Amino acid sequence: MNPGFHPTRRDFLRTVTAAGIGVATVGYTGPTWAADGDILHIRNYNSVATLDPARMISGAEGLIGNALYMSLVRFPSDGGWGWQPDAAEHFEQLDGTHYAFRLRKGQQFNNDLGEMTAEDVKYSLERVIRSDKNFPNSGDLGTLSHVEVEDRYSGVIVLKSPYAALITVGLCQSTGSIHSKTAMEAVDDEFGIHPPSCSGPYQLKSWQSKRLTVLERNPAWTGDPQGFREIHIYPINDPKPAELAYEAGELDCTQIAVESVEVFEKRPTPNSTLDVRKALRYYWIGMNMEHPKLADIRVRQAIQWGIDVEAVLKAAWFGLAEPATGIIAPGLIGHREKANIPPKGNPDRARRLLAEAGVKTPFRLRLDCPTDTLEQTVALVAQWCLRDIGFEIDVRPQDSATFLTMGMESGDRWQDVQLFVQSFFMLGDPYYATQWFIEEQVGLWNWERWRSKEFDRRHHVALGLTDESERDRHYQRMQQIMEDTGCYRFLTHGLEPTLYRDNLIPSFRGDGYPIFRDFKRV
Amino acid sequence: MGHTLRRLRSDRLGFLGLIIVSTIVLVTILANVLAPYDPVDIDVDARLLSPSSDHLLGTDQLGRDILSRVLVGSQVALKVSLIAISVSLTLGLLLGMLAGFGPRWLDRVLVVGFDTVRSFPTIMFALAVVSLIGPSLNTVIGVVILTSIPIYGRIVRTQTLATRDRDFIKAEQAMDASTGRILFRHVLPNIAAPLLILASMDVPVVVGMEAGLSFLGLGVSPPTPSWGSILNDGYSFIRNSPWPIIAGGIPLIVVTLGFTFLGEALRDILDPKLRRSGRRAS
Amino acid sequence: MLNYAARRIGLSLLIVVLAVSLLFGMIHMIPGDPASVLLGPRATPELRAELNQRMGLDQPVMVQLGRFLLNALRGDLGEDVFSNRPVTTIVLEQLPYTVILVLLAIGCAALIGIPLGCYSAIRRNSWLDRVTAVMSVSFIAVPSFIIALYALLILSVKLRWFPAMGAGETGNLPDQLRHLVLPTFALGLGWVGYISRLVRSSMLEVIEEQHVRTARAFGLPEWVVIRDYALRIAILPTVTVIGLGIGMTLSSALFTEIVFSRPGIGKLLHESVMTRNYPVVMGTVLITTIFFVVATLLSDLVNAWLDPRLRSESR
Repeated sequence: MNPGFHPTRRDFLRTVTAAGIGVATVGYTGPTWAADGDILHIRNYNSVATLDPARMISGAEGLIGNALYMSLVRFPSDGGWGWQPDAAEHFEQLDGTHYAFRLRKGQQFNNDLGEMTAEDVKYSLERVIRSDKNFPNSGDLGTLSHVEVEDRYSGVIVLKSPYAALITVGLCQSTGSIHSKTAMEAVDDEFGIHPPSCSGPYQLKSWQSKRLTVLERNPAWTGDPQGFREIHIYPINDPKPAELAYEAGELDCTQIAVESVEVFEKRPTPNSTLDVRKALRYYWIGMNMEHPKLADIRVRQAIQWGIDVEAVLKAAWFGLAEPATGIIAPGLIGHREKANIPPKGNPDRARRLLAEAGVKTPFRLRLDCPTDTLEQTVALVAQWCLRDIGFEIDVRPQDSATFLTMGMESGDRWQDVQLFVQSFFMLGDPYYATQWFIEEQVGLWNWERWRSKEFDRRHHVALGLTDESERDRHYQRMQQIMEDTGCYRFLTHGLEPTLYRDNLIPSFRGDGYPIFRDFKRV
Repeated sequence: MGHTLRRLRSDRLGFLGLIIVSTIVLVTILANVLAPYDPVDIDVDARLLSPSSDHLLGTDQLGRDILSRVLVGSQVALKVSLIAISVSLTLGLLLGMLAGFGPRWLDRVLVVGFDTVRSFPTIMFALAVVSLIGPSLNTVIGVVILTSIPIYGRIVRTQTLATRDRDFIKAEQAMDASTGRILFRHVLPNIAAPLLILASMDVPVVVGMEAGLSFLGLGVSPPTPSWGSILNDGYSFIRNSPWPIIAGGIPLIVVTLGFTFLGEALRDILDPKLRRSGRRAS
Repeated sequence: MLNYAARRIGLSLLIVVLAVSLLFGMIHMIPGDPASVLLGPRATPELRAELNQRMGLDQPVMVQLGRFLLNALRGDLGEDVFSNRPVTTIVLEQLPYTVILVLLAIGCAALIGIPLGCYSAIRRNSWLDRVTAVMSVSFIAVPSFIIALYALLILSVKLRWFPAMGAGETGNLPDQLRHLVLPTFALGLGWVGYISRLVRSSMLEVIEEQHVRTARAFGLPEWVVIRDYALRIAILPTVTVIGLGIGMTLSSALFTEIVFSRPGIGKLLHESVMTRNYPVVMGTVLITTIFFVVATLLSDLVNAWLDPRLRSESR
């Protein structure tokens, strides 16, 4: 999945990458207090372009996928980061490269496609890594080699080499979901919107591009009763219209913008609960160390020490978010308790460093950021902090398409990149964060253009380890290496504030995103 | 000039317009002195405050004083208008005269050129250009100039054509008077008044365009204040505080009204024939 | 007349082609391309080459433009880069929203503006005439997105009288009309001023004319005189001016659609430029330009029909 895309709030200029531009057309179906107890009206942060897990680019599609398809295992419904059995009644890691599973008996696909068997599991997982298809998400399954079928319901997943994120990133996400081999072969393995088979509690009823996706109960579902007869999912990028729709009674649950948290707290909407969860995303200010102006590490360190992260958080996140110590959020393996540089920074030290570097002040630098209000606010506060230190910062907001490709060598602007405000999407395994900063990524997503053999080595090693505390040490050290380069000022992991009706029992993943299939009415 | 001023005094709206315009110009020149705070000064603890004795118009989402930003923002609006209008007027004048007086093929080409530029939705054009070059005030000025030239150009062309066919011009041509001289002595005076009126009526349009582009985030770079960017910030935080929008909109309304009243009055005084010429397309 | 019409139509076609080509060229010079955005870091050079080839994005710009124009003649505007849906469908889905908004705005404005203009002309210098005059000028002067913002702030956010966003539920007409109130108001206010002034001034000219006085002399009731003689003629310049004003309204409509988060061509255009969705950009530009050029063409033709002198104006 593309790390650059933003699943959180954006202002109207913001158009999220790839799959879909949510035109805020909400097809209101009437107030929810009418006889709509059976229908869940919920917002998704992006529109759906495909429901094929191998092709999904947007996490928003994955959220729907989790309601349509079962995987062997799934995220727990309590917001933690472990996993619990889903289609498999038994799932066990045998060794670094072998995972055994046994399916529950009697699980059915819809459309009369019959019972789910180990053959279906084999087919579903192996298709994602088919070399002739070149699916974008094949990387999620890491080093998968093949799946061995032992009998009708059991098998073993075989990897070429250890891959620690198989469960979190590969299986629990939609990429590892199980489809009917018969149905998929009949469409030659290609489908866009309409899934040939659904094994989950819901199936797709209808889809209108950028307007509405409707899920209905899957009649073949044999698990716990579904919470709703139908789920109406509205793709709304910008949380502002979504908030308004919620207030008008047309939505039962939606994420809201950070700045709206205080609005809702001051004037609470009746019969609603505001749940502010910490997100997993990581925001930082990056510096291109290959740019001549930033070549001197003391200049970079001056910037690190000069930016007051607490002020940034107060301005952009209304003081609601916590400072980050790196790229790995609390709750995940590898989270650092403390960073080298305290959140407040130290202006005096910053000035000394700059003076040592012997550059002429005011030292002019360019700071690029996306046009979103949040990032622009971050940029402006950084600009103001650094002005005090002796920098003259030129803030340049760029629209998302231009910004996303700025640091890539495929274009011609990467050499001019100096400072930038960046944030990446995150999943539940730390490797998903460190993978963007290895040497291979210079010219792709490593816009800071630094290289560290130690970092790369640890990244590859940690990916294959199973011992959590060992992995933890590696990832902590990796973040320290990042900070030591002077190219990073870590900001925060952000927030996922969600508003929902009191008569709902919602369910969230560890990163604050909703698990549609587990929503129930009180 | 004195005659015009006297007549202006008797037209109440026009007079009001004159007062407004003069005040605005004065305020713009003195903006840096009048502003109580530095417009880019951030105070993260004083965000989104309502008006108070400390901040007469409240503060924005970064704690910056809105009054100061509005005052300094006037400089952007008027700078853009001044530069854009004078350049497009000059270029439009030149091209229009060329079209009117020059060879037929040149006229054809220029007319098609004018119409092509006018047939873009301005915003589309601005979007494309700004994304290409990067948002900046100069880009906005450039876009405004490009879209304004055809307006002036066409009027000049029409006038030039009309003048060209008059007998006394033909007489002068027969006497070998140079084209330049003819243009200067005969065409120009006839065009001067309508052009100047058009220009003054154009100020509100240009100010509106700059505000609109800044509102879309395509204009000034932060943290430079401009009325449009104040509105843009206000829109994002419309539910947290209405003051940025209220404060950002008022100067725009005042400026556009002032220049329009003045322009209309001038037009009534100087050239009643122009009453029927339509608004320019943007 | 026919000669003139043919020339104008030919010219309009040329303009459309030129405008589209110019923009095509500019869009392609903008940094950032859909392949990078779509595929992100998982994009190997092969994948991106494949996507570029599939989209025809690897051809030189002139070739792409040529293919685009040729296909456009057949009604095929290409496919959306991200969802593979035909651009024609996407644009036609969004077009009605904008068209309805613009027509409704102008229509309501005409309904209010014409009587106002009439009355102002008849009761010249009455207090209503003076007030209308000031308000008209004011409404025309103020940019419509400011009106939109204030309407949003006061009538929607503060008073909660009207919805703040969207177009309303499909199939639910009252709901959709509720959602149209504020945008129409914002867009139409300037038109009210404009139309009333226009009607007023043309009526003033006509009212004194010979045949009107004759009608009066014959003892016809005043309102008949106005309706059948004066208004009928005074209306015409209004009509042609509306044609010219459509283009201006399109720009205002973009802002209105953004402020109220309404679907429509303006929003579509804006978003597709931001995501470098080239096919959608070109399709939208083409249709918008055609729309605009046709409006101008029609009003020019009507004008020329009315005033034969204009037919030889373009040499």
